[in-house]
Amino acid sequence: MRIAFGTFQRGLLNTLGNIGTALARSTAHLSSGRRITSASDDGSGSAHVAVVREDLTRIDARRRTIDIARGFLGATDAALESAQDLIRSGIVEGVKGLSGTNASVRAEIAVQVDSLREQMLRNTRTQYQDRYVFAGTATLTDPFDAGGNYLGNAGTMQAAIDDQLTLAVNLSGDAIFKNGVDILGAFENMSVALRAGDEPGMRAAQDELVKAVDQIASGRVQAGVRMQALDAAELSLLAREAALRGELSRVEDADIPAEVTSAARLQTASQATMTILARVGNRNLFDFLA
Amino acid sequence: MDLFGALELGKRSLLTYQSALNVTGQNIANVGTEGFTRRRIDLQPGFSQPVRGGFLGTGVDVARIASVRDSMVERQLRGETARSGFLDSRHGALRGVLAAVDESSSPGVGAALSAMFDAFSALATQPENPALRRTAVEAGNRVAQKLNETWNRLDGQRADLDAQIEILAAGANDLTTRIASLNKQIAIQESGGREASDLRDVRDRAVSELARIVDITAFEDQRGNVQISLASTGDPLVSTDTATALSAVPDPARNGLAAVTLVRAGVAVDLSPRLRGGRLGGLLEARDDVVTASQADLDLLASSIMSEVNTLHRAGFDLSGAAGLDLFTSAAGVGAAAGITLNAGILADPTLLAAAATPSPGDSGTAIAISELRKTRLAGLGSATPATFLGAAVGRVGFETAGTEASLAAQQDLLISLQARRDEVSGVSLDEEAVRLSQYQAAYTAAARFIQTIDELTQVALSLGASR
Repeated sequence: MRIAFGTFQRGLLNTLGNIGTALARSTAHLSSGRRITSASDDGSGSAHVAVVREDLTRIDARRRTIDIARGFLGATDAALESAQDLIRSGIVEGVKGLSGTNASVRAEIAVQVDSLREQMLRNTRTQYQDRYVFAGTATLTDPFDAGGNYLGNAGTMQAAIDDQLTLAVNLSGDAIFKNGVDILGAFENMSVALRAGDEPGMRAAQDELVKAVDQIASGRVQAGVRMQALDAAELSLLAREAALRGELSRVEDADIPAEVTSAARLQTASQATMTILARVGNRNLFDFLA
Repeated sequence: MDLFGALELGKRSLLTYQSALNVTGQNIANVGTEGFTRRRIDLQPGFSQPVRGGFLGTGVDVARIASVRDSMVERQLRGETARSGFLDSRHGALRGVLAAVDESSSPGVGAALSAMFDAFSALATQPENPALRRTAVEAGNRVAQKLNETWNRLDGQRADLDAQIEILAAGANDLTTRIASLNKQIAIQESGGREASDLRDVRDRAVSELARIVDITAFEDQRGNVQISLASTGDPLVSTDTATALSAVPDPARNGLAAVTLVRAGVAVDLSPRLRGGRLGGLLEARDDVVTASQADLDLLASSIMSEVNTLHRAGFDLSGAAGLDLFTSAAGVGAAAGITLNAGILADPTLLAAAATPSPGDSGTAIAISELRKTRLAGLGSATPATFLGAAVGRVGFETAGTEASLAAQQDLLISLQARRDEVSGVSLDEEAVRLSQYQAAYTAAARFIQTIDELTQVALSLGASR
């Protein structure tokens, strides 16, 4: 086999080029900590990474939705708790009115009951992030007017808390405060009966308020159940997020020990090739002829 | 043979070995010249003359000075050079496409889509909120802009490739003209029976350069002319001393991008779809297939997103309870990804964004439905979600880039191996030349000594006459 001048060098240069390319790739993996720094590193891996990243982003969005829904339900529950307290106060005032008091005392109690009704009306207008929580989807409208008429609607505010899973986060003010026991009406009836000294009226209003406590309690139970649903959904999302992050790491992250070994091996090969190129490549018979 | 005949023999030997030394010197001088083919000098004994008792030789002559070639290796090398050129162009183009669509290191269309779905998801939690409405509108606008930007970047790449195609076509024409001219010069020089080695080297280099540009079939006829034709179509490019030009002419069917044509029987024939070898073939394939495939993916994604979002948006209601408009609009006469824009009215007034499924401001049914498109398998995308579709499209480009890169590396190794085989035959070995130099030097010295001896003998003969 004839070895012509340049054959040796050309082959070694090609080898050096190949080593340089591999070394550059290895360095990129090491410096970024990722095995896939470009889709050309692993086409199917990069497609998989894109989908996993989108899944993670979606989970993140779901968790933000859950946080807001939790805040909304928290505001709802706080309003309902306050409503329960107001009703209980109303019941106490009713008991006072029924315990043989005179007209002037009943009138004072009636004023107290009016005040409780006013507070209850304000309670029905509770807002979370500038939205009326008891107005259905008519969130920009006062749910009840001064006369106690419901102005909202029966719409539900849905929150997408997981794939194929939406949750109604609002409780209808109509159902909570109006249907069944008309709570504002019960306060008003109590007030009228107190002023008129109408004992049967006072008893009837009292009974209504007692029922209203259960009605509100039922609303709080609904809110609690939905809170639990949010917690369950979040736990599920957290578990999936952990699994996806593991998957992302497996597909995308560089195997650092392997990369370090590879880079060291390539560097050695590069130095050896350059040494050979420098020492052997330039020798020929002319060096030895006198 | 008399003494003067012997002197003539010595002179001929001197001249012959001087030529041999020159050939060696030429080989050594061109040891680093790419494409140089080593020369070999063949010596033959001078014609013998009859003398009493037999024949006496008349010394040594140069039989032939020729370059040493292996035409089969040269042919293989040209073919593989064309393939290397093709892969090189294709790889370059794929890297360009990948840089435009890959989101491994910088956010692109996929990130914009994700952000839009996120924005609608956030809007669903508070559809009346003006800030969230503005965010969703801007996120939708960003999707349109990213699609436009990426599509246009790819289109710019097609234009760059087109410019390179025009340059390469001109380069190929320059080479075929030179080869045709060299055919003519070589024929003239070799009419005397001597090989025009230097011109042949120049022509070989030109043929190799041409092979890198376009896939050719080349053979040398009996008269020493290189005849060249296109490998894919058989159309002649060089016939003896005539070159046929390739033209890169703007083609209305390709939106003004160039078609590579060649005149066949007086008619310009579009060769573009059939040229798939050499750098020119690689550029044509990249421009007409590789880049357009990615643009088509973007168009498909844009039209599907536009159609699905608009359908939902039109069925929804804006903040005032009015029916929704199209969220995205498209420009006529361009691809969906190039022409998609956000409805200018909605961009100016985000209250027109239809987040509700009923005419009620707190309803977020439409915002939820739009945000849930991220997880929906869309019929227009072959039953893939937008992220899966885009990931697969980018992955395909990545896969093709890696595959072409691997092929290119293997091709480079093959070329090196073929060049080594060519060098085995045609390359200059300094060791070999050192030995020849030593041999020819010794032969030259001996011939000179021979002349000196004959000269001394002549002096002796002359002195014999003088002493009488």
